[in-house]
Amino acid sequence: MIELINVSKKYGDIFAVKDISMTIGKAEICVLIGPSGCGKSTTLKMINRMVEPSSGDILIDNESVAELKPELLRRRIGYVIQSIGLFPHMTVGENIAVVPRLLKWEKSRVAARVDELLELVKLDALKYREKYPSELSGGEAQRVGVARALAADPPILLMDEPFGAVDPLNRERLQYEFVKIQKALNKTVVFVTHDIDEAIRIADKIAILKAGELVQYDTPENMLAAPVNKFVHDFVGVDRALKRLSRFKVGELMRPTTSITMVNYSTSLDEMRKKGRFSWVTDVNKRLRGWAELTKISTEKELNEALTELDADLISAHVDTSLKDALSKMLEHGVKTLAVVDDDTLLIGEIRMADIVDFTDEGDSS
Amino acid sequence: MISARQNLGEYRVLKIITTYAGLGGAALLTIGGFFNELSITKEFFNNEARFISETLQHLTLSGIAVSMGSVIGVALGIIAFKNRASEKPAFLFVNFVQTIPSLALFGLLIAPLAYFSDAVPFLRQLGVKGIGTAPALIALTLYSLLPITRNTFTSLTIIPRGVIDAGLGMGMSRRQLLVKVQIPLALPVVLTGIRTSAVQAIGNTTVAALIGAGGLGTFVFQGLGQAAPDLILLGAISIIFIALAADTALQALISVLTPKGISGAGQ
Ligand SMILES: Nc1ncnc2c1ncn2[C@@H]1O[C@H](COP(=O)(O)OP(=O)(O)OP(=O)(O)O)[C@@H](O)[C@H]1O
Ligand SMILES: [Mg+2]
Repeated sequence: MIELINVSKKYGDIFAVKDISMTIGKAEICVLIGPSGCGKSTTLKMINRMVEPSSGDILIDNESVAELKPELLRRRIGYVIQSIGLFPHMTVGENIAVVPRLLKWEKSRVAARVDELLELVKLDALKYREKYPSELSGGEAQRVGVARALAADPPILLMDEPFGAVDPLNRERLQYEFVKIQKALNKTVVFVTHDIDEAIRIADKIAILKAGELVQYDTPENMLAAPVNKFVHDFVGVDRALKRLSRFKVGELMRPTTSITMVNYSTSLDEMRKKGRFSWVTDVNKRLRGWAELTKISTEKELNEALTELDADLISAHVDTSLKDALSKMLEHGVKTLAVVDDDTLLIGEIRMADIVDFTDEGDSS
Repeated sequence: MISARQNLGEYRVLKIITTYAGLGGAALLTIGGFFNELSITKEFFNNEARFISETLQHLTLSGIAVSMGSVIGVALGIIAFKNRASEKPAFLFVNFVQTIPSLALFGLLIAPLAYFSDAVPFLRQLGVKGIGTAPALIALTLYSLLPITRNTFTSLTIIPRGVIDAGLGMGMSRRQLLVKVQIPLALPVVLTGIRTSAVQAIGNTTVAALIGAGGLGTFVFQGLGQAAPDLILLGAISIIFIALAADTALQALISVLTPKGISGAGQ
């Protein structure tokens, strides 16, 4: 846990950071965001004492960082700097090994760790270990930067625009991979960006800064639903309702549903007609096959005619899909309901457009 | 991995040595014929003992001057880098020194050194006089400053700020940062400056003979005085060879010490 208590940093007469207090929970990703020059990097650097606060205190697990020797403090905190800063005269492997070597790990342990980390950031160890930073693309270098920060398995990671140099497509992939890694390793992460979409994608908590001051510190869901002022409102963008939907999963609004099986349908047909005009149709294994208009069915032969057999992918959404993606799928295919399937593409429920719209309104009024 | 890098270093050294050996061999053959015709060989054997001692003196003078120049030049470069206020005066000074003609600098040093020698008996005991080794060493050292100071300063400025921040941010101490990051990255550029200074100093030492400091310049000026071209050539060709050898040796050293990841950078 990291606590900032009334932290300020002054350069001359100007506050780079002004009286910030916030608590970053263990194993959370806290994203610092705001316009250029608002004090994001300065705030980050005060945590590992690359910058000393002018006033206030910073505690890590209830221990003031000011009382720790900077070198020792920093070896326990992974740090990805804004410009990556790989050492050009060291190979990728040597770059990653810097902190383990400072900590005097055994050689074999360092080597094993280097390979493990390269695999973790999806770089082939054999191919990349011996390369020099000048031989890497921007995205590869950033992965190495992240691997290097993780090397000694620090409980805390400070990351200053770590994906800044990556194109939007790879960037999104890196973000998802990073969240997965973070959830698996339980790191406490302070992450700087000025990309609101990146923040919404990865954050557990977002801190919006403006001219050195903390304007709002909240979960992305709350921040999108209820920006505290016009600055935050404008910063999160006009499409905040849609953005907010990206933070929720289909599973959260899913309704139970009924279906008929292609072989054994007649038993429940009458009952189902009362509920609606359509029904999902599955095969005997509960795998989605399509849908059917119930009014037209009374015999098995008729089912075959009434069945609109469709690629399950087109009419269903995985339970972990975001509401935003589900909504765009509905709009794309002109349907008001999607089947919800699990990992094995078995039908487990359905999601309705009306529910999503209601949900958006709820968020707006809160 | 390490062996691969060593091999590469060895390969580069070998390449340089063979290139220069070929060049040197060809030069030797040509000059060999030249030698006989102008009876330089005779001059050489006539002056063998003196030739050896003056060569040693030449090497000593330029060697000590470049060594002192390296210590002072590197220090000046670091000071200019650390303290931006000192950058201008430091470079003004080394640039200014470089513009004084060598003979004039030697001459300028005669009067003050003669004065100090008279005033401070201890210096006199050390052999410091208005003419001779002392003013030569001082002048040669001053000359060697510019390339070394400039390259040291440059080598430090071209290390990206992010690399330094990354090192510190990962928990390197100042000393570890210096040893693991700053020196390996800066060394090739600094050495390139020392190489330039060394070649320059070997040439400038020739003039030192005029103020009684000895060295191979003695033959050159003696030859000029006696209108004896073979004596001039004996001195001049030896100086060229020493300069070429020093250049080659330092280039080889630079190749070995340049980290693979930054090959060619800063040169
Ligand atoms: N060493 C310094 N000396 C003086 N002013 C500084 C220094 N470092 C930062 N500042 C100032 O403090 C303010 C905050 O800087 P900081 O680097 O924290 O901004 P940032 O939010 O990270 O911006 P960016 O998105 O551009 O990286 C800026 O106005 C900057 O000019
Ligand atoms: Mg910044």
